[in-house]
Amino acid sequence: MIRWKYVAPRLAVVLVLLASLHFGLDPVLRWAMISAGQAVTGARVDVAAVSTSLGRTELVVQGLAVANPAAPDFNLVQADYLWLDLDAAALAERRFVVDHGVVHGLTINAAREASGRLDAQEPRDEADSASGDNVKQWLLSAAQGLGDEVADDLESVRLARELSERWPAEYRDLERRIDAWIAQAEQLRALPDLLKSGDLAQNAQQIQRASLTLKSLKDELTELRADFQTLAQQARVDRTDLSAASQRDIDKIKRRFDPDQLKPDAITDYLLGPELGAQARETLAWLRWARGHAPSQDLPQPSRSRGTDVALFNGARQPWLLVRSLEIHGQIDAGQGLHPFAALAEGLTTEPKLYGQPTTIKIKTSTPAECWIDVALDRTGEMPLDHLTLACPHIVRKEQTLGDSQSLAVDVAPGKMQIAADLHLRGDTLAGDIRLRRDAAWRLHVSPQLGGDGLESRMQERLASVDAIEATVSLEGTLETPKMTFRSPIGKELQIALRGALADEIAARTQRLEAKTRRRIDAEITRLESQVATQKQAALKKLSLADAQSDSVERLVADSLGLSKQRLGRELLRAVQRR
Amino acid sequence: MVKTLTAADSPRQIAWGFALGMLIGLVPKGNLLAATLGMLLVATRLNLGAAALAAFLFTWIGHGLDPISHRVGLALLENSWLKPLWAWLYGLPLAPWTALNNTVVMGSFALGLAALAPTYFGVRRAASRVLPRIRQRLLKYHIGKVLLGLEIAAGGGSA
Repeated sequence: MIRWKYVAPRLAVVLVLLASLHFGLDPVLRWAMISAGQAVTGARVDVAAVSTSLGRTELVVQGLAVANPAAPDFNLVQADYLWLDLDAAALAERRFVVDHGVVHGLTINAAREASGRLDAQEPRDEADSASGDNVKQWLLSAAQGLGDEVADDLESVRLARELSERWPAEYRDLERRIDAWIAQAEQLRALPDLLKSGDLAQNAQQIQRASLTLKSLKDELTELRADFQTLAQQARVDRTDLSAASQRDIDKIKRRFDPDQLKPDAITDYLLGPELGAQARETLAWLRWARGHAPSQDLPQPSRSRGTDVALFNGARQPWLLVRSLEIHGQIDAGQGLHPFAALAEGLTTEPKLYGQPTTIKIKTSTPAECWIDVALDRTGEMPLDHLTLACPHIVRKEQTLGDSQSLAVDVAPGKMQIAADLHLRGDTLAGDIRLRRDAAWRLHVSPQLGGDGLESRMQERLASVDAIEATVSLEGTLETPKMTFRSPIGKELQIALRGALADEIAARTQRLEAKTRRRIDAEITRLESQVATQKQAALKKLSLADAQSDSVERLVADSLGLSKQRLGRELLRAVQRR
Repeated sequence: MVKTLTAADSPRQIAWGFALGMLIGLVPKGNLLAATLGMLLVATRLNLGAAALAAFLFTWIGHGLDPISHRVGLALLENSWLKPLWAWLYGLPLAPWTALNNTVVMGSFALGLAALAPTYFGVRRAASRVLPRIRQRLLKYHIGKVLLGLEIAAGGGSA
């Protein structure tokens, strides 16, 4: 006989526990995955369903989507199905060790229906090379400058214009001062009449004032003469400065069109920089992402909110979370449709130092081109070490124009391209290179301003030996601020060809431009000097007039007093008092 | 409460139920130790009412005792004589799920174990003295008769 009074409540408790485990475990795991995923990525994580099998220690996740924190409208990864075979022995030790896992329908960079942003993300600065822009600038200025147009930014022309405003103003000021002097001297013509009149005592004050004015006018006239001389000297100095400025302008024009300024690396950057730079930036972005999400040191196990956990392990311990092997089958959206890929990730763990082996990820894509990407993230030592190799030997490329068709460009026919990369990161120090080779027919395109068809055919002849476009971008610096250096045989060859083909043309055109510039500068200087000469003559004429006026007044006063002109200055008052 | 007072269980069953409930209440939940204690409770013929009452009561008391539990747990876990024992225990299958390496879990479990016997004897003595009187008083009221009558009927039915 069953004692239901005893069995029923206990059976009910056990059933409730089992039901909780059965119906509650999967939702709890799903919630834990979403919470942990969002905490790690900083973006929205969606999980459609989680199912567990405690007997077989298996975990199946369906409809996983992890938003890209840098582009919340896209998923970093999404997977249709994820199966994980957990190590039961490790699970008994409260360790989550995945012996083997398989991911199906993994898609990278797929568009999301709703934004995956959780909070505002800081945009990252993109490092870029400026040497390609230098070449573009050179070609642009060469195309414009070789059109025999004299630039308006010449220093000498600017200085001549500045002087043409300053000099007349200074001469006008001198003339105004002379006019004022003459007007004042005119008033002294009344002095002899005062002296001849009998009532000297009554006019004594006026005579005294006139005497002081006469002395002051004489001093001022001396000052005016000195200022005139100073102006003339300043004009000579300014003329010398103007000549120096014009020489500097000529030198600048010569330098501006000097083909030696074109460096092979800069030409490579100009032609292949956009292609190689984009590859490099994309590779670095992935490396940056991988580094940002790989644990740099052993992450602590989740701890309880109450009390502290004391380490009690004895002997060898396994990491808290470890994925020994994970097969991934999916597709990546590289901007030109989805491309399938397969990958194998090994040694994914939250405690890399404890695990003692680097995390490795091997990726293989099959369409549109076969590519192999191997990534090793080593966090077992004090310094993080990352290594990435990439090999895409058979990429099919469409027709393409490298450079700028408005100046200098290379038209490349459809063909195959190879890309290989080998990058190392030791701590924050980046080193490595990305190599590109394109086996396809190519043809130079030179704009009419730079020389057009004639120059094009001459350069093409010189470049006949170059049968493939090869380039290497060397990466240095840090992951955040990488420094890219572009090198290629075509850059070197193109520089030689450009110098050879353009040398005579540039020399002739530079000479013409130099002569034209010199003529323009000379014209500015001549116009200025002519303008100044006129004003100088006018000032000189007025100065002579002032001198004559001064003599005339002095003579009148001296005659009326019976004194010589030399004694007049110091004896005028005394003579008046005697009278 | 009513079930504890009206059940036909002996004071011994009530005392063990209360003592085990006290231990379950003190230990933080969400680990294999708490689950094992719960299973032990339902697997034995103890008074579940007394156990539930004690568990509820000591869950709140346990939170208040956390600082003491932490110190006791830390002293035990850091004890050099006991460390090999803990390491061996922790190496056993499923042992890490018990969370006995946590200072509060270990401390509250140790405090609960230490209080187990005194609680048992205390509650048994109280139950022996108080329960007959309470039952007699309950019989004076209609509701008490109903409850006890139902209980007696249920007991007779299952025997």
